[in-house]
Amino acid sequence: MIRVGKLNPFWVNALLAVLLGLSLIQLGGASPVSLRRMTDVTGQFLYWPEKPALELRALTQAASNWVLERATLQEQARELQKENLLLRATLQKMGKPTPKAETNLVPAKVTLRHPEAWWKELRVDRGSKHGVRVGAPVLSEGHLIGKVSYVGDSYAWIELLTSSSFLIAAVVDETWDLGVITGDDMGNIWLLYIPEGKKLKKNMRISTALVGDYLPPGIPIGKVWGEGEARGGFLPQKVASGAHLTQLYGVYIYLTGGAATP
Amino acid sequence: MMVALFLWLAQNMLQVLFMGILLVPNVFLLLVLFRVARGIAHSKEITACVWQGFIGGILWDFRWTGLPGLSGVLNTLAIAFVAWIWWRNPATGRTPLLFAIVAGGAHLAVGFVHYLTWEVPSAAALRLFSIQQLLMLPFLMLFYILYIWKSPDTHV
Repeated sequence: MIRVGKLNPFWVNALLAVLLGLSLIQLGGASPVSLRRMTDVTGQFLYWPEKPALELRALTQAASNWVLERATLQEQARELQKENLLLRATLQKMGKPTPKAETNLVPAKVTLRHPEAWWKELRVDRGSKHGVRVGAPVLSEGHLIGKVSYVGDSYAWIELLTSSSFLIAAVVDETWDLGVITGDDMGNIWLLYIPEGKKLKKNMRISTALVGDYLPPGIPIGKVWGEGEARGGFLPQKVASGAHLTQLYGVYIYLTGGAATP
Repeated sequence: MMVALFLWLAQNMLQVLFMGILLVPNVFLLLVLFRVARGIAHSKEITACVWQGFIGGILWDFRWTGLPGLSGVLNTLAIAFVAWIWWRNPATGRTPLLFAIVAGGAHLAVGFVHYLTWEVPSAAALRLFSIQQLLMLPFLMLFYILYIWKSPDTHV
């Protein structure tokens, strides 16, 4: 009986804590905006204590990339130089001046990716004070991986290509077929609204089509990888992203109009 | 309190460092469970442990999970579980080995519930979960040794 008497305050407090925790879970489900706000406030509060680890991670990643991917990057640079020269020559033949670069790629480090929403969104350490705007495309390894969905002062949330709520117009480079890119929340990317009669081949390249103010056409997305199940006269195409979406540590936010602070 | 805060921050920093590669073990929870087992005779001390575990869990949720409150609830349940086992056992039965089994089991259960809420493909998630539990073992061993070291008069 003495033991029971001693236990009471402990059990009462434990019960209170459990009830409080369950209320928070319920509140988070009912009001995702407040949940996002609290997550961001905690992230900002912990920004400086976490800064050394964040920098160390970026440094380690850069070092390993330098060693492991140097040859690949050099090969990519050569290919891009060749492509650039061809495009310049084409523009000259058409009598058009080479456009001035009014875009900016803002490098950003990934600071949060919830396991519960792994294929939906992530948070980066660049925000409105760095020029980031809602809708801006986000790239990794030269390929589109998502777009900015929410901007805070010094952070931004990125909606990933693999999210089922992500919808963007895309074009198959080889055939000029237009479709809509979306995800399924499970890591897969699909190109929808391709008529059943169209025979797309594996490895055909897909890039963005002209759709909005912040999203320019021609950004590479990935390649055709397979076919889905035909429905309503359309044959969805499975898309392989050109970037490694499983592990994203640093991304580039594509800003048009300049004025961004890297 | 300061040790718990320091350990929480260290665990958080390690998670930042290894984000996307692995999940760091919940060393903060092991510390709180160790304190519960050590201070079982002092009601005030273990009641404070409940709130330490709960607040640490809530902060972890706001930083790392999309379900605020989940880690808070799970930490509290783990603390209650360890306290219940400890109270049910006589002082001579509260051995370091039993502590290691109970704390390790609680860590495994907490991690498993989180695993069930993840969205990543099952094979990758299972790998992350397994590595997290394996990485917990050296820390559990450390607390096991600490338990022996802090119990010189119990001859265990």
